[in-house]
Amino acid sequence: MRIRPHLLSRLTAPFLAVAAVALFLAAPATAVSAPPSLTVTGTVSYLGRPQAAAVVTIAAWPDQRITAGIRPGHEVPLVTLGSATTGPDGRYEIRVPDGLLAPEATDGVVNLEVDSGSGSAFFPVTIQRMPGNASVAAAAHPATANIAALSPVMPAAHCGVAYVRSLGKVWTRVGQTYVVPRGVRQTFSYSSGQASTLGIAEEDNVGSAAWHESGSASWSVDSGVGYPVRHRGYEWYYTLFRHGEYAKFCTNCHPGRPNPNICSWFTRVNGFAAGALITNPRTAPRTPSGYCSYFIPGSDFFKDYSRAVTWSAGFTLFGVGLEAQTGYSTEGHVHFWFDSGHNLCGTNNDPPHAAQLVAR
Amino acid sequence: MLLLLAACSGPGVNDGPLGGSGSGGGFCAPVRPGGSLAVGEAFTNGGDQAAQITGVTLWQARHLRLLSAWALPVGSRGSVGADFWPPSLSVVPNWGARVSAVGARIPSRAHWQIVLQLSPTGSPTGSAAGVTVSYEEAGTSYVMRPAYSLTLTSHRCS
Repeated sequence: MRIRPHLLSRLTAPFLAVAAVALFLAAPATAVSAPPSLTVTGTVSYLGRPQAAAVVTIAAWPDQRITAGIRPGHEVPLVTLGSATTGPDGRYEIRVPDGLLAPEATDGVVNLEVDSGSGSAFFPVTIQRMPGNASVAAAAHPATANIAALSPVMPAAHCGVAYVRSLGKVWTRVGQTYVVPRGVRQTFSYSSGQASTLGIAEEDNVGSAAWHESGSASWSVDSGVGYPVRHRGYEWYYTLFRHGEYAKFCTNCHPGRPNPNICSWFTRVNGFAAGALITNPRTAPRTPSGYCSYFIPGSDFFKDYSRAVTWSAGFTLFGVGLEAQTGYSTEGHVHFWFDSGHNLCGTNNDPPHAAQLVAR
Repeated sequence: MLLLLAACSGPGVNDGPLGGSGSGGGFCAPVRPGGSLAVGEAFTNGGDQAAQITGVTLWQARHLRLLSAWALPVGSRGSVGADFWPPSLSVVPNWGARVSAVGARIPSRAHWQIVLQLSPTGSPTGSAAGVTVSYEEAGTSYVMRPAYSLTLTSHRCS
């Protein structure tokens, strides 16, 4: 479906509400005996009041190769996975068989969107392949997403997402290491198969003209980025992702507005462009002395990167510092070489388990 | 049948109160031919009761021998990553408080370390995929096995 250009112009209106959606995964990664499905539960509310009889749908963004090929002005072919109607308390529950998620997953990650017609939330879910080619949705903890409900419950209508324009390439922080003393070298690598979860900025078509963070989407890279080995210093490692601006539309989303079919605009990652950049922050994070481990001269330490670190301002679009989180795979890692004996310290745990590492 | 499966399955790995999450890693340390090193494994007992260590072994060891294993609290100077044997008192000032790792009781919420004395055997380079620590807490058996590989070599580390 091609979207007429005038639908994509900016509108304003004085509505704003937030509904919390709690997401629980019914099947832990190791519970192969449980029914392989993802259960999404939550509430829909408007101005703090639960909204009964709201139709909530959950849809998957297409595989990222398809997402990357969509041209401006065209609709994103979202794949509807399920729906439910909220009860009197505004709550709903949707069960999504993992078998429906897997076809849309790229390198084990599928990006989901929950939509109530007047608000939406974005979040990625990892898919773990099991023996026999089965798959289960996997995540360490239940996730929580926020829906910005723009208006009271509306009748079920055709809704969708259209690609508006490219926002180009944006440097995004994907790693960090810190070395305080002389005699220690450091590096970081971002390998093929690594995925980053990047924040989504959204501007509601309500008149506030303010972009705010609204969930996240994951993108897997298909090539690696190597960074040089550096000596003493504080290093932040960046690479380039492409982002696009999208429009969320529903039939008569904002009655009375000049373009009533536009609900909101949002930014989202839609490509990886490689590139390597290092910047040097002025300070290193604090580390409790109890989380330091001593390494003798000639030794080295490496740690696979995990999803433990979230940068609240990993990159910026429209003046909004957005989340950037690296993880899902174990193919990127930090490496320290101790030419002289020093401590390696974790910010929140012992070095093998720490979110960030500082050589001291 | 279920009872039989339960009896055969044994304790799960890394699902008990000891240890922390981690996505893998490791280290390499140089050792003189015929010598040994001190290698530490720090952990926290996140449970509400004391844990008792019942066994310490190397996991998937190749040309690496475990000579001794000790347990002691992690102090303000931190823990042993890889040190000469015996570890320096500047790194482990409470070394005198060590007890044999097997049989050690780890208090609830305490931050301890197991210090292993390791030596390559039959090859200049010895390695293990990790350390397996078996323990009991409140009558239940557990296994802690951080995804943290160890390599000791009389050659150069990478």
